[in-house]
Amino acid sequence: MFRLNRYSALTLITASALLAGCASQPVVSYGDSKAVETVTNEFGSTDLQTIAETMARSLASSPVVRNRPYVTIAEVRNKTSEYIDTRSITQSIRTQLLKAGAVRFTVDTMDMGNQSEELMRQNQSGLYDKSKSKKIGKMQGADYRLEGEITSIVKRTSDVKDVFYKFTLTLVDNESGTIEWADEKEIRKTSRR
Amino acid sequence: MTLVKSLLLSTALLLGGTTLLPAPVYAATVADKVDMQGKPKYLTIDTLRMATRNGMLVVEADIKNRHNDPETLLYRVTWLDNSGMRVWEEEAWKPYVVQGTQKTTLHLTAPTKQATDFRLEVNSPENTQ
Repeated sequence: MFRLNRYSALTLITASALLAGCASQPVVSYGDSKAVETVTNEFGSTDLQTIAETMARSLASSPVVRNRPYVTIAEVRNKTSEYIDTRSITQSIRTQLLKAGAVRFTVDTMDMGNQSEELMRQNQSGLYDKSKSKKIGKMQGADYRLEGEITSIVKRTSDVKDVFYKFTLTLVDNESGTIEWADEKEIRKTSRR
Repeated sequence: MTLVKSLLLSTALLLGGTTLLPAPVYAATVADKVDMQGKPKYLTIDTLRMATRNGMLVVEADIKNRHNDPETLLYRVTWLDNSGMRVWEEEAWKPYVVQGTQKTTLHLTAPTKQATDFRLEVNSPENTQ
């Protein structure tokens, strides 16, 4: 009788473990990447998409870029209290401007290593046909640079959290140092318990 | 006779006025351009205006909130060319808050000079009947 009970208990434990294992399997589904995201009130995909869209369209419709100037991306400073990939924002802006054919982009400081490495390999490794390799000293200097910053103001009570983001982007003339265009996008998000 | 003359003169002046100062182009009807998903209880789009600024199509939509509390509208635009073909990727949905009893204008700029027409998709999840 005791032995039977022990086996029954063992079987029960194994079955429970198996069932628990099945129950803890995550449910995976694809979501709409364009949907409004309100999971938390931290910086999210909708904010990134809205900022990139607003900034790219504002610059593309500005008379400053009438002649499709060369532009490079400088730093976008993150002055908020949270981690935000500001390069992801500027890359989205760059993609939209390039697709619109509004401006031409030159290699920025982040990608300069790859650019110079490629030129050195073509010109100094001795592996390439000299007549077909790309020449050193032919890179295009950017007419303007895009730089900006994102700031936030956070207010919190026991049951309310209010976050205000401000993204500012400016287009600076590299030769004269004058600011030729600027725009900003403000976003307010409030969460309540 | 004098009355008829003055009416004709007024009409001529009015017509002359419109040629000198062209009015913004209004969409045929709001329903032609707006795809209202569901039937919002409080939010209405009364007027749409189209114009070109620096070669880009610009659209303004007048939105009215008939409720005393703020209402959120979700929107996105499909940008089209002359033949009705889509010229830009599917946009992300964007939230737009209209304060209680506010009448506001939503300002939209096309992403490319190829866009000559548009369809505005609107969804108001919090108050759809």
